[in-house]
Amino acid sequence: MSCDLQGDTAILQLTSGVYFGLDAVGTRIWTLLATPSSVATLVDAIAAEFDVDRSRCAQDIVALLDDLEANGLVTVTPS
Amino acid sequence: MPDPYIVYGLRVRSELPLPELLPDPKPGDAAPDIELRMGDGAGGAADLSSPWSLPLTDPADYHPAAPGLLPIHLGRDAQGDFADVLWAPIGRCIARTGAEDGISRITLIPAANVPDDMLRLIVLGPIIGIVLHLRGWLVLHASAVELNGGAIAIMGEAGRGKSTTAGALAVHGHRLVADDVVAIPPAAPGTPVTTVPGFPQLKLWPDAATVVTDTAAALPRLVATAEKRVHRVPEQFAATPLPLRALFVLDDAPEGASHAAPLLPAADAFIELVRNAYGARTFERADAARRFAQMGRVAATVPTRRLRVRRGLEHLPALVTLIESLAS
Repeated sequence: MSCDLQGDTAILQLTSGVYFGLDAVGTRIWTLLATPSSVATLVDAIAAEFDVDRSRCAQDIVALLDDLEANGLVTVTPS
Repeated sequence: MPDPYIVYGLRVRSELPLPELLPDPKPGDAAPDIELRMGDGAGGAADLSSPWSLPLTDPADYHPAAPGLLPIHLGRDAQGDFADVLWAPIGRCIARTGAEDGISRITLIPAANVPDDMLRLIVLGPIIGIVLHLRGWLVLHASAVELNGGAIAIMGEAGRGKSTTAGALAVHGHRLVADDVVAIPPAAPGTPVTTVPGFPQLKLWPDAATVVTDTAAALPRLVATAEKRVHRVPEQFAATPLPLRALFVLDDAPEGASHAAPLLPAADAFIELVRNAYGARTFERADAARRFAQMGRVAATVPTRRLRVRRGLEHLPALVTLIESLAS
């Protein structure tokens, strides 16, 4: 479960008891992940909204998704 | 049983006299919110050989004794949520909140020859904290005073000066709300965060007591073997629930720096609430979703500042002035 902290987000993984914090960009990705999305869709949306280099953006999003997956917060499937 | 008392706005009937608490101004035989009974009915001393007196049904409820943690079993059975706690060598306690009548029932079974003041120390500390938790309250390890019609709460590591700061503010005419256990009752989303006065007592180290009262030398010890003193302030005690207007985290000022009080981003405030939740490690897995949502609501709506202040009683007057100016 997650809660809004004035633009940032805190997430609690209930089984492990681990807390996660997301900044504004992470929060936007977390919100987009409420509906299943492809990595390409996420990169398009974030690169457009936050004025960031597309390849750097893709790198960071994949790293975040890996982290979230390692902690049981998202499921990543091969397309 | 003695006449009912009031603690955190709740009516208590207790077989153990609790002179620290104020009498409940509501007269009559109304049902209590909390009922404390002594012994298991058989008249014997507590059996301290097993950590649990209730069966462990759900492995997820099981809170094993780890170094520094109380053996506490928080669970739920047909009669409602319960906590089963062993304090060797003091005794054991079962607390539960009735699913039907909402009354919190505490059974306290002391070991042989445990003095009443030791029992009162755990009843008015950890047991009241557990009962409030079972009733769905968010419980913080903090002290709080009333300032300008609202409450401010002071968090910080053990020994950093929460009670001393609250005591110094009380000397300046600000009424005490709670010492050590600050309680936030459940509330609907979107409503202001409130806190309810606990009971009119401060626990102080002897040197801090000299700053807070002229009669420090005469203050009783918390229990016979403790250094900490008890300072009762029934005349200087908040009367009603108050909106929680600010949270402060006591921290050190860098060498040579003057006092500062930076406002924390909500995400940092959230981390401080996790760290300073009452029984942070003991309770961390208990009712985690509910507590997470409550801490999020507090972090998002109550301004939280890190108080970077110098250590030492000589810096207390400046600290009091700083908190007063931030709360005005």
